[in-house]
Amino acid sequence: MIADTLDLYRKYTGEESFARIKRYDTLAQMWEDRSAQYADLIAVEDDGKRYTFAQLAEDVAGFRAVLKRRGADKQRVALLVPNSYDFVKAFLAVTTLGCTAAVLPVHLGEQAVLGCAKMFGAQALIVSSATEGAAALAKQVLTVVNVEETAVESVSAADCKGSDGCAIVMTGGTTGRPKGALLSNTAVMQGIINSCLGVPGTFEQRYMLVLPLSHVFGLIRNMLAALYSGSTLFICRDNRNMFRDAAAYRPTIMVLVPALADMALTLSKKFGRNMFGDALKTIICGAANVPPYLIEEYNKMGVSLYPGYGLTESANLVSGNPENLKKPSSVGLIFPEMEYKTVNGELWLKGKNMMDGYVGAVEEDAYEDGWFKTGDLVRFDEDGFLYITGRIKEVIVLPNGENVSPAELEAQFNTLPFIQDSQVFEDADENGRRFLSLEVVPRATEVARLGDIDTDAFIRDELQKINAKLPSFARVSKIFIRTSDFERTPSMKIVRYKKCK
Amino acid sequence: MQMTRNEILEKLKEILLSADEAAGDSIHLVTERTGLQSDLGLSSVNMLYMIIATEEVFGIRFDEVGTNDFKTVGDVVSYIEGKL
Repeated sequence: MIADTLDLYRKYTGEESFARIKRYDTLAQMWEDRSAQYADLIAVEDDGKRYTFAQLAEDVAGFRAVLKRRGADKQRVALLVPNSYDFVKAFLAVTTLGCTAAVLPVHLGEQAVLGCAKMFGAQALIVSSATEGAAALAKQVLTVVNVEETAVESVSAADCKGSDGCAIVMTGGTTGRPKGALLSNTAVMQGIINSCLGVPGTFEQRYMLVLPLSHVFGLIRNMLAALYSGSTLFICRDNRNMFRDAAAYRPTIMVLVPALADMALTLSKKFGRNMFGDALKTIICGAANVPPYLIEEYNKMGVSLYPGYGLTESANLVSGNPENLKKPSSVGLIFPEMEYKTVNGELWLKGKNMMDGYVGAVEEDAYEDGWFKTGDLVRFDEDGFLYITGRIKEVIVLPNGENVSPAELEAQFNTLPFIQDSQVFEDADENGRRFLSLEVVPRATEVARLGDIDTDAFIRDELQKINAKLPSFARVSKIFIRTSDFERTPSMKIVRYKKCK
Repeated sequence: MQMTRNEILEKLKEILLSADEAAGDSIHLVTERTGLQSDLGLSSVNMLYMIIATEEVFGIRFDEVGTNDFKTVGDVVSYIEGKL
């Protein structure tokens, strides 16, 4: 089925913004046009300096010359540069030169940098002073260019095609094995356009970047969407300073993972002011399950928090939820023209924004009949809104043959405001009898509001009320209330219990 | 601002309670020897929260240090004490 949501998105985006959304075949075309259109506006604020679109365009053209001079204008160029103006400049220089930028996470060690560069087929590597040490091994086999190198001359953007590679972004994919997703210019451009849909006031915003640019959410939804929309991108170099930076810069829009949005909310409540500043109107939230609590609480502060759903393989967003208050548990409507279907509950996708395949790993099971199999279990409501109900690989098959998706059950328990996170898992007693258990992390700020009662007993009672409404086979038999957070991955997702206990 | 180590610890416990949403009843057992990650199980987000809230509450700045530089509650108390 092809998502017929264009008219709805036109309505949600607003006619004025919608009319400004223009399609380009390649990032090079987009950058040439938009940098001229917004020449005098501030494109990037970083490290105390402001750069206009014209200045950035000039620096990009200069860095293209550096890459040519150093023989680094190869098919694939790896980037090992922290979030900075220089990253923006280098990424645009590489991609507008007709090369594919393989974006590496900056925390990689020497061996991993070399391994990833080889895995992605990179022939050159761009580093900064901060990452030069990690490139020592790679330097023996690759052309290594420091991002601070300059050239007097400049080189124009190349004439490339939509089908040409644009970026390689690391992902665990559906199997968890690290690899790269190869995104064409067409895919990245579609990802950018999807970013502009469904959010009122898309253009000329003040973005603040706190997510890593090696992740599609940071790269496409934050950095490229900001450049496309004539917005300013403030780069927060150290997350410890994010609220000081926010107070001075006053962002109007933030792109956040739920854990950061939750942390900022708790701090805002503790100190009685919006820690991201009083100009903030919009939060785009994704990369993990977004609890409805966040939407409701931010709404009380006058901030619209929009959940979305996307994958590295889909150049970020597949859906966004403009009806965040009416349907807070949904990840929204599939973006226009995306092809989708569900097979045994799993979401399968096709579309302009989908990757051309993995680099560095063979994933035979990733596709079937040309469809990308997301591994996500979903359902749609009567209005076509999408809900993620779990991951295929996390499904628990009970002894009676019933399949249970832990995420679907957890979403029910997470609707309680005093539950921050939960995990449903398969447990067993001393006789080997298997059953479902639930572990929850209470939200202390909400628990404190419960007053002078036995809070543990209260929480158990409330969880049991939800439990009782579940189908009998899906009910949990034991409830554990944790006294510390779950173990989390570097991207702040909960580490799931690897084996059913 | 003059504060004893104990006063700093008590204020820090309040922050830890809100940083680690689930610390609850066990917070009164926290001493200077308590490990931030090894005992309290603070995640990277909790650690970031602790630093930002500590800066706000004590009016200090964590310069030239990373979250990995603090192993125990006492390490944080010492850093705050040195900054006051």
